[in-house]
Amino acid sequence: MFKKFFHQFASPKTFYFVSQKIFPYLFWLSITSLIIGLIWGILYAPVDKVQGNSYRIIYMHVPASFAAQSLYMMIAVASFIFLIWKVKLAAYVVKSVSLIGASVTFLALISGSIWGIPTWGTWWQWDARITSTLILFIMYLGLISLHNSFNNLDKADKFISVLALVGFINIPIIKMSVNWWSTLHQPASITLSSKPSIDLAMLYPLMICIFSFLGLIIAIVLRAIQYEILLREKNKKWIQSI
Amino acid sequence: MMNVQFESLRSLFYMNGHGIYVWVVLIIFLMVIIGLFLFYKIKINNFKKENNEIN
Amino acid sequence: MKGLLHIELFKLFKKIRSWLGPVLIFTLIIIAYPLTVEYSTSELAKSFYSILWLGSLMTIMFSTEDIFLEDYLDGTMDQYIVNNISLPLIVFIKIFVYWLLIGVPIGILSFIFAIAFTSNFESSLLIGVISLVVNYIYFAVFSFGNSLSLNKGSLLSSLVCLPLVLPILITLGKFITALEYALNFYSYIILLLGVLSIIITIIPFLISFILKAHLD
Repeated sequence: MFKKFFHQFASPKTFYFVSQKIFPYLFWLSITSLIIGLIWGILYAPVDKVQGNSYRIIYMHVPASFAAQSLYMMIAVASFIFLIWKVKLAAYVVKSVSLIGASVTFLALISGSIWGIPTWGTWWQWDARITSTLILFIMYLGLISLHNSFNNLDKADKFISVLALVGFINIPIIKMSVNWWSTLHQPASITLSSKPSIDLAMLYPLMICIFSFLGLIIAIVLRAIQYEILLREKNKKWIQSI
Repeated sequence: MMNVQFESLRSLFYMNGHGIYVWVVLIIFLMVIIGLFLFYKIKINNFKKENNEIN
Repeated sequence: MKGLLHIELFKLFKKIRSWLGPVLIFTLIIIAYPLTVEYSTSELAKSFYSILWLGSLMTIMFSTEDIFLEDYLDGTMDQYIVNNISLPLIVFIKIFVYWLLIGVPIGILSFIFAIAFTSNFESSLLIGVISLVVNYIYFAVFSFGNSLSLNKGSLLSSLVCLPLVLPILITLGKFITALEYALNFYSYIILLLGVLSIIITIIPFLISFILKAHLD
């Protein structure tokens, strides 16, 4: 049963119409909660003792870097599905997420470096986490340019997924090695295994921001996949009747 | 617990000198989101328009 | 297998610019380095290693540019598949031959230059050995990149592959620090050898998968 459901959902046509239905709910829900989270964070959350008001950038920076890493995970899972089961939709996911992932990573880098000016006194440090984010950004750009340079889209899909998988194996290695090389960044504020090192009054809006930003990005990803479906399957009958 | 942390609008924008950083990041943040959203919306609309013209 | 090795060796050896060129360019990079800084021996030795690693990285990056291109264009690759010769084996032999004709000279040259810059025989010998190991890793990774961007030039492959080899560079930096402060540097050599063994086994299969996709 699961297989049947999977195959049905993985057909571009079904996906197009289902995502068309889901999109408005997801989009409006996440955008309202993002606005609530940002207002809460910027207006109501208490001031940080050490960093002053500039810490409020956390409400934009952490969601962006969280999304940047989760999007790469999404690319890796999709390319795995594409290479093993040859599901076409997965290739569309890989292609469309790579552009969005690049822009979100860029957002994380920019917000981080602006945050660095008041807290560290410099906009760039050769620190582990910043450097690995920059490498992640370059890897996203590599995916985009690899896909862009082939006219034969079937080939391009295959290559981009192989590269994404190799990169996915390599990302933890890069992170570990860069960490080993140098560390200056404050350790992650929220980890799954330990108690958060951040006050609860600051944590709640942060959690809202992280999840609503992720939801918003997923909504945009749905849109991007829809566009990709339209583009690739424009000769199909059901698209011509839209 | 839930108090606005700023006395006036002026202090909200100024934020003890850190306001400029926070607001710039907020603007870039919103611009990227809106830009991405509009990018795909416009592309899909253009596609549909062309599609309708052909048929 | 032996016959294939001979054929590949001969094919590369005939194209003198493909194997002598990179070696000469590597030499020129290392020669150019002291000219860019004020002349004093201690200053030169300080950042010699980073120039060495980056020089060998860059040289290998574009020496692998046409590693599969010629076979792809003139149909040799199709012949291999038609005749049921194992493609991963061919890829392995190709990388090995490139390493033999370009990587080994670069390793020997780095040993010689290390003596010239640091005048310490033992550490230079270690540098040479490490360079041999690392050059093989570079060859494998960059030929992976070049198989992706087969007829699209080497710019794309270097963009795609440079992030992947950064951990190797970091390990090399750690190794140099350990060497200079007389710490235990054998762990880094073992680490690199471990990476080498993984790469030797995985990369040929990966590349042959991509090459088959190109030929479809």
